[in-house]
Amino acid sequence: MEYNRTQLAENIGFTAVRDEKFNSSLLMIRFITEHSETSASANVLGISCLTATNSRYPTISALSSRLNELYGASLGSSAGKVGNVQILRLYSSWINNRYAYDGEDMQREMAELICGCLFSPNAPNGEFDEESFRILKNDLLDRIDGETNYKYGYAVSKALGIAFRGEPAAYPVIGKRRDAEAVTPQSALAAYHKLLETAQIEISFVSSEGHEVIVEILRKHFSGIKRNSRSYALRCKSPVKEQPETVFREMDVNQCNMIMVFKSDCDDYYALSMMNILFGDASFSKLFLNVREKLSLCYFCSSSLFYSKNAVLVGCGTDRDKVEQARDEILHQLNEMCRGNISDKEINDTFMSVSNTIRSAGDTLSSYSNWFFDRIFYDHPHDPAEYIEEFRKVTKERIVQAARSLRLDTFYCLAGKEEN
Amino acid sequence: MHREIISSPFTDDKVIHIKHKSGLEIYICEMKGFNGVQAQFCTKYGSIHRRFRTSPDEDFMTVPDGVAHFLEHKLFENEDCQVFELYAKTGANGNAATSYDRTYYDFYCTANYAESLKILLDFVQKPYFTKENVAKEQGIIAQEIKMSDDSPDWRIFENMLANMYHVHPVRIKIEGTAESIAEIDETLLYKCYNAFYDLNNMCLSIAGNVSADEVIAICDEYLAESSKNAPEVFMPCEPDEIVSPYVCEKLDIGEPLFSLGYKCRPFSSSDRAVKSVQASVTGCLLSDSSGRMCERLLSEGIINSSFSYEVFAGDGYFSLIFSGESEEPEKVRDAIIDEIDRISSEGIDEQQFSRIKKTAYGYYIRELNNVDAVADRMMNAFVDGIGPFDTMKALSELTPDDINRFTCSELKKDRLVLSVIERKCDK
Repeated sequence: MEYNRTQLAENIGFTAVRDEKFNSSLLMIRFITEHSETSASANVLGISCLTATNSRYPTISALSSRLNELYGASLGSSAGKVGNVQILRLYSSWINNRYAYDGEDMQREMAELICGCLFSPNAPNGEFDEESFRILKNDLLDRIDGETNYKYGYAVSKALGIAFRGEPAAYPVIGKRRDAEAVTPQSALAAYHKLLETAQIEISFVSSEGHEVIVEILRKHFSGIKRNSRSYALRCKSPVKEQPETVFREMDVNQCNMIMVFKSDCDDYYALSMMNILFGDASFSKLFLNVREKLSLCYFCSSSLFYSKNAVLVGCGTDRDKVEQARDEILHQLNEMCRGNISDKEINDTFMSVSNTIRSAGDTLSSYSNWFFDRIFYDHPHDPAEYIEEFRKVTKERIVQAARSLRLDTFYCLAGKEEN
Repeated sequence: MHREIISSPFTDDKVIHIKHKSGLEIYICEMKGFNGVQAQFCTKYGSIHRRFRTSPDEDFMTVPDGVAHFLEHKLFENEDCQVFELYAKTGANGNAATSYDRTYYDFYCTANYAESLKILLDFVQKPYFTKENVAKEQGIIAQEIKMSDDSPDWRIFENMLANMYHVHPVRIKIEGTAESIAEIDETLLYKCYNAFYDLNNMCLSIAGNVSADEVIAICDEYLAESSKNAPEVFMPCEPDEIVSPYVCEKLDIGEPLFSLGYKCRPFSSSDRAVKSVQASVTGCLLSDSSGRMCERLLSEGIINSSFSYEVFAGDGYFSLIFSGESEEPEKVRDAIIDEIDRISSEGIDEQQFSRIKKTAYGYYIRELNNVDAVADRMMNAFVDGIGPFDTMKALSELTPDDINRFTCSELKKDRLVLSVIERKCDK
C-alpha cells in the first residue's frame, strides 16, 4: 500500500491510497462545515443537486445513462453529523481500466464527469435547474417524513435531540421539514458556492491505479475558486444535565425502544472505547450476556460511543412492562464496571475485538478513506499496528475510570400504547 | 475428495471447490492482499422446510413455524459455554442468519482464522438443547418477532408474499409467531437438527486471507464422515395464480411504502442463474432513472429515489419485485404494467439494454473486491445449485431477445400483487 498526502489548494487536503488488490477506484470529497438550522437542508440539497445533473448531462436521465455507459459507475452524495459539524460527502466509484471491455480510460472519464458536476453544475441562471431541484427537494422532504418509519432510528434521533438540546448536534443532519421547505433552487446553489469557498475540504482517492490524473484535473479546477475557509474540530463535549431528563412517548408499536444517553468528561479515548465495547458493543459484552442472555429481556441491548460528543448511547428493545427492569439491569452492569468487576479475560477479549476491527481498515475502498479521514481529525497513529498498541496499554484501572466518568443525561422511551 | 478450480470468465479470480469426503461442499477463495476472512457454514434449511421426513417409511411431519430460526439461536449455546465467549478469545465477530431457504453461521476476522474456523465447524456440529435453555430463548425470539412486526419493510414484504402464494411456505413469516414458537421443545429441535444439519446438505464458504490447504486440513480434522440421506421435503403444489392483487395495512409511519411483485414460474436449479440474470436486468431496465417510465414518475412526484427492484427466488418460488415510497402506488403499478406492455409489443431499446448490461457487469466486477460479497456469492451458488461465476457467464450471453421473451412470458399483469403500507394517521 502506498500513501500520499498533498494540499490541492487552501485548506483542501488530498489523500491518495494505492493498493494493488483493488479492481476499482473510489473518489470521496468531504465538505466540512458548521451544522446549523439555517444551512443544514440547503447544504444537503446543494450537494445532492451536483450528483443528479450537470451542464453537459442536464437531466437526471442523461447523467444516469452516462454512468450506466461507464459500467454502472456510482455517483452519489450523503450527509453526516460529527459532533457539532456537518459533513457533506460526494462520492464516486468505478471499475479500473483493465476491466473496461470497450477500452474507455475510466479514470479520466470519471474525473472529468465529477469535475463537471462540481464546477459546471446545471445552474444556468444563478440557480439549480428547477425540474431536477424539485425532484430532489421532494426526495429530501420524504426522507424527513420517513424518519418515523424506522422506530429505533427515530428513538435514537429524538434521544440525541434531548441530550444535546441547545447545541448544533441536536439538530437533524438533513434538517427539519420547515427548513427544507424554505430552500429554493437559488438558495441551494448559494449554499453550495459557500461550501466551495468556505468549507474545509478533504478529498481521498483509493485505487490500484496512480492518482496523478485525478490530482491534475482537480487541481486545475480548484485553482479557479477563491477560498476563504477555516478548519474544524470534530470533538465537542456536551455538558451533562444536573438531573437526567426522562421522556416517554407513545406510538402504535409492538416493541418499546428505550434509549439511554450517558455523558462523560473523560479524555482517555482508548479507555472509553474499550469500556464501551465491554459494556455493550460486542456479543461478549455485559449488556448482551446479562440483559439479553441471562434475563431474556430483549433481542438487542447494545451501546455505542459518540466520541465527538463524549457520549455513550445504550439502546434496547423490550416490552413496555419490562422497561424498568431492563433500565435497572443496564445501570447495574455499569455499576459493576465502576466497582471494578472486570476480569482479565474480559479485557483481553475486548482488546482482541478492537484489534480485529482496526486490522479490517484497508479491506474495502471506503474503509481506507474513512481510516485516513479519522487520522486527520483525531490524534491517532497512522499505522494500524501502532494504533493497536495504544489499546494494548489500556489497563483495568483506566477502563474503570472511564466507566465512572459516565453520567446518565437522558432517558427516552418510545413505547406502545397501553391497552385499556 | 474431489477438487476443482473454477475461474471467473472476466477477471483473475478463482474459486477452489471441493466435495469433501464428509459430504460437505467447500468453496474457498484466496484473496491476495486482503486482511479479512469471511466464513459461512450453511445448511439448506430455512423456514420453507416445514414439512419433511427422513425415511421413505415415515409419514411426513409438519413442524411449527419458526423452528429453523429457533434452532439457529440455540446452536450458539454449548453444553459448557456460549459460542460468543469462544469467538471472543480469537477476536472474530460471529453471527448467524435464517432466511426462507437457508441457515448460515458466519464469522469475520482479521487474525486467527484457523482457530475461529475450528470453533465454527465444532459448535455447529454439537447441538445442546435442554428444556431450560429452550424456554429461555422464547423471550428473546418473541422480542425479535415484535421488532420485525414494527418494521414496515418486513410487513410489506410478508404481506405481499402471503397474497402471492396460496400454499407455498414462503408465505409464512421466517421467525414464526409467539404462539408457534411456544410449541417448540428440545425434542423437536433435535429432530430438525438431525434431519437438516447433515453435511451432505451443507456447505462451507470461506473467502479472504486464507490458505486452501490449511482450510482443508482443518475440515479433515473437524468433519466426521456423514452417510445419512438428505431429508425429503414436501412442497405443496402451488398454482400459477396469485391469491389477491392488492393488500394494504396501516401502520404508525411517516412515509407510505409499496411493494409490487410479479409472481413468475419457479425455475429449476439449472435454469435459475439464467432466469435470475434475465429478471435482474429487466428489473434494472424498469427501475433505473435513465429509463422513460422512471423519469416520468420522478418528474410527477409519484416515486422518489427509493424506487428499486429485487429478484426473490428459491425452491418453488420466483418473483421480480419493485418497491419504494409513494403516496400513489396504484399509479406506479399502472405505469409498470404499461411499460411492460410497451416492451412486449415494441421490444426493448437496444442501446438502453447495452448500458444496463454494462452496469450489471460493473457491479459484478466491484463485488469481487469484497470478502463478504465473495463468500456470499459462493454460498448463494451452493444453495441455488449453480457455479459461483455462472451468473457472470449468463450475463455475458444475455441478448435483448432474452429480455423480451422473459417479459412476455413471466411478467403477467394478472400475477401482480401490490402490497401497500399506509399511514395510520394523516400527515
